[in-house]
Amino acid sequence: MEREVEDLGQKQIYEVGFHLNPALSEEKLSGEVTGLRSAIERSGGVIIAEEFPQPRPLSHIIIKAIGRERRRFASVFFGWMKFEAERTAAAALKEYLDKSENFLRYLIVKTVRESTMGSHRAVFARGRPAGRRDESADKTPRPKMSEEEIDKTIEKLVIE
Amino acid sequence: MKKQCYFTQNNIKHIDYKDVELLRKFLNPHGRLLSRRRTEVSAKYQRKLSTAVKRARFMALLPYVAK
Repeated sequence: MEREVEDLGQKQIYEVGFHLNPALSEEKLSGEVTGLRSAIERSGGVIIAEEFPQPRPLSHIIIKAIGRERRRFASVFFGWMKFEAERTAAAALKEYLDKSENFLRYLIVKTVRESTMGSHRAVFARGRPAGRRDESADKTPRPKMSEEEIDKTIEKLVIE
Repeated sequence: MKKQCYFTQNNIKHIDYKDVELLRKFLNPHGRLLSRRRTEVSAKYQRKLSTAVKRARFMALLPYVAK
């Protein structure tokens, strides 16, 4: 029990990724971002890193009920914020995001302080892309030989 | 030949769902996650990869189904 109480008091690194309504003007967009930032800070969070929302096409259409209407979005403004906060802060942030109509979708995840995006992306040691079998190896041209030539080479090998 | 995990090799400890370019390497043309047999990723990182792909799909950064 004591341990549970201790855990609640401990700080954790979170990241919130969000989709904002693509119809927002630049002013309103920065207003929403400022609102989110202050909501995090109000619950005792400290922002570590962030990316301002950028327009982005989506892989599939997302639907959001705004007022009485179910609206469909094929592109959005996508941004994220990484922050350190107590474990109770995530619930407060969730409440704030649920209330706002301009945040179409969001995801709060636990993460690490270090940057997880990056210029890693060294190549595979075997020199082929991750997760794909090397299919080019089979496509290399092979010398064409007639039957006589084949027989001769076999004979040579047998003699040797 | 000994299997080598992409993430261990490149010292990637946390797989980010926003890193769509990386995640796409482990999907087939239909948008499904490749098996461990094909990816040669360790069990630990295959689980992390699976979580990251599911998060990216929820955020519509990756498709649930393609083609």
